[in-house]
Amino acid sequence: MNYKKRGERVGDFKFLDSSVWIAFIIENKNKEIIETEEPLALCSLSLFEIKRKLINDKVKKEDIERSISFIKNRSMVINVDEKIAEKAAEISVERKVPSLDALIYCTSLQNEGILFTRDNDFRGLPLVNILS
Amino acid sequence: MVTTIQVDEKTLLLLKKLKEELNVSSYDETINKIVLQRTKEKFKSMGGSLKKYYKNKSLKEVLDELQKERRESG
Repeated sequence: MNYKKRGERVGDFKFLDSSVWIAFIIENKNKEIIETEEPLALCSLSLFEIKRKLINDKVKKEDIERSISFIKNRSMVINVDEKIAEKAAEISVERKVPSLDALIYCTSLQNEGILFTRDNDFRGLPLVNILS
Repeated sequence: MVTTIQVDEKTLLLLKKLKEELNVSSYDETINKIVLQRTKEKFKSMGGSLKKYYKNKSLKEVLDELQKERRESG
């Protein structure tokens, strides 16, 4: 089901993939998207991915918390539901997309959003904007 | 879709003042502007804030690792 907020579709939001957020917090990339007044959305699995990456890379706990809290505050976090899970399974097999990518992609797709990413594995999928 | 929220008189006065100061046409716009301004200021400083942990690694390497983990997840 589409997440609706005050009559808006999530499709009015830009969905940012984990790679875009990581590029921002490490290198200040993509600030033209993040440091704006535009509403942003994020799949909850991206939070998992970002936090796991920061823990693995030995980032201090307080810096991880600050980063995650900032990402959550700046975005509308969308959970994976049964529709998304089923659609992701189909896309993952049909287009040979890794599971996590398929789930993140379908969260954006099911909410009529455009996924912004820096990961080339999404190339060729509709409604994806690959950033460099 | 519109909805109603309850605020006390002091808050309403404050909102009226802010509405004039910001030169906007509605309370909705006033609240939106304040929230977005706050968000913008708060987050502006976050860009590049974890650079110190990645001095020996390029962004490309970090993102390649992320992509590898994704591919390995199945």
